[in-house]
Amino acid sequence: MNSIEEARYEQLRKLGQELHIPISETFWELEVKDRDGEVIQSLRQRSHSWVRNAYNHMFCQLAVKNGNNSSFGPGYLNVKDTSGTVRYATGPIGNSSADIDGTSYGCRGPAGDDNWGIQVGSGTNPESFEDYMLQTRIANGVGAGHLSYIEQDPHRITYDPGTRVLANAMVRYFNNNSGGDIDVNEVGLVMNQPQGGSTVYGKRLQARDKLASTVTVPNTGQLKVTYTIQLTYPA
Amino acid sequence: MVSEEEKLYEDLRRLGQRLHIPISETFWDLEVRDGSGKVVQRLRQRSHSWVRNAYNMMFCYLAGKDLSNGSFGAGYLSLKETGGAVRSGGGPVCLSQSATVDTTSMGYRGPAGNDAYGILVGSGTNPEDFESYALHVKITNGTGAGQLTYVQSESHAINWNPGTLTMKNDLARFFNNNSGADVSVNEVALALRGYGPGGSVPYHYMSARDLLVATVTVPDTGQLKVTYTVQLTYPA
Repeated sequence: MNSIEEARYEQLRKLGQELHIPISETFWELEVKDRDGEVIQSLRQRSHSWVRNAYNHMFCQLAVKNGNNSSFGPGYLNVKDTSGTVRYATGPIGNSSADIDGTSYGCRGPAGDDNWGIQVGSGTNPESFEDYMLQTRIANGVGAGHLSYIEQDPHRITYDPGTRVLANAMVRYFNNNSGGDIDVNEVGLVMNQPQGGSTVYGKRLQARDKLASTVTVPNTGQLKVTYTIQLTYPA
Repeated sequence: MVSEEEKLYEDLRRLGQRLHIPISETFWDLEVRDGSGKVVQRLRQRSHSWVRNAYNMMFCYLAGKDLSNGSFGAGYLSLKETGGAVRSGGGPVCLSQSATVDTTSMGYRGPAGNDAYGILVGSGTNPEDFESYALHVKITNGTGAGQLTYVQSESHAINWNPGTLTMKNDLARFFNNNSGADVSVNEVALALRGYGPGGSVPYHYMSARDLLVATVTVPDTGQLKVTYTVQLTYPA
């Protein structure tokens, strides 16, 4: 990662701690193994690209406020689901009385399901704050250009008492049995919010990042994608 | 507010925007009127003091994670309600998926005569503490000595500033003094009413407690208005 930019993040973290403003940071890590289990490519980069959905989610939680607008864009509180439908309801974005540590709801995608959780794509469009889906999602399967989506690993929570950073790592594996190499250029995180009562926020993209370089998964190889979210506590 | 500190907040906001890291800021405004409606005291200060409950709720919704630890403290994901009990369970933030939080039944809007949640005021002077889960000395609802009448919280007022790309939520609550004497306010707090986590029983969780930079005195027959503002700077 870029050392000048990293210095700015360090400055941001320290300022946040001094002023008691919560600072969250997110990272992507990709690792490719060939059929013999040998690591042939690794990539680590920051996720810069929480999209409008994620900011609206955060605002609704901070203010404890319902979503309430049918327009999507600056100044409106709602989400756009992965199919492009704008959703709002008489309940805040992101709320759940259901378990989200499992693979029914939350960020952990189930086996064979490319609709939510960590997703990968081949698109090369620049990142946009208005993104609500991957540009070209790589579908689940074993056909040409497909990857097999494995059930996402359980959340892994760690706390560093030195830096006061609480971190959550989410991992998902993708197997390539397509018969050819697969190029990955974009990654996304899609949350599946329980739909019940009057709340219908659905499956929505929270972050989409374009990879700093193409990651190639060889036929019979495996891709491991880790998405880490961390929050610096003041004490 | 202190201009040197305000400069640091400005630096933080700009840096956050540049790096696409969401920066949230919170403020308290207090205004006192006497019995004839004249403003007799004003105070505006930043809220520095989101407590552990608020950070844990924030972490859980960022990570899509349940509040799953029975212990409370550094490294644990749980909440401590205003009564002191630690709550955890198979669910994330403590609001039901189908309940509205824009009204006074759940969320941050306290109902009339209710001093259990919403914006709360107190007379305690203990320093701010990240581990706080209740006001030091809450001023209770009523008309007896040392009490204030808690009026129903006003509706959320949402405002978008296209120049600064800031989304803002103002939440106001009025408190009437019919106690027969002055009432001194030294601390303010925001408490949430929500289910769970992972259940259907409502609990109250304090998210922020701030010590006021100066005592605010509400005269007999006077009125106090407290406004809590949360704002988030968007990158676009």
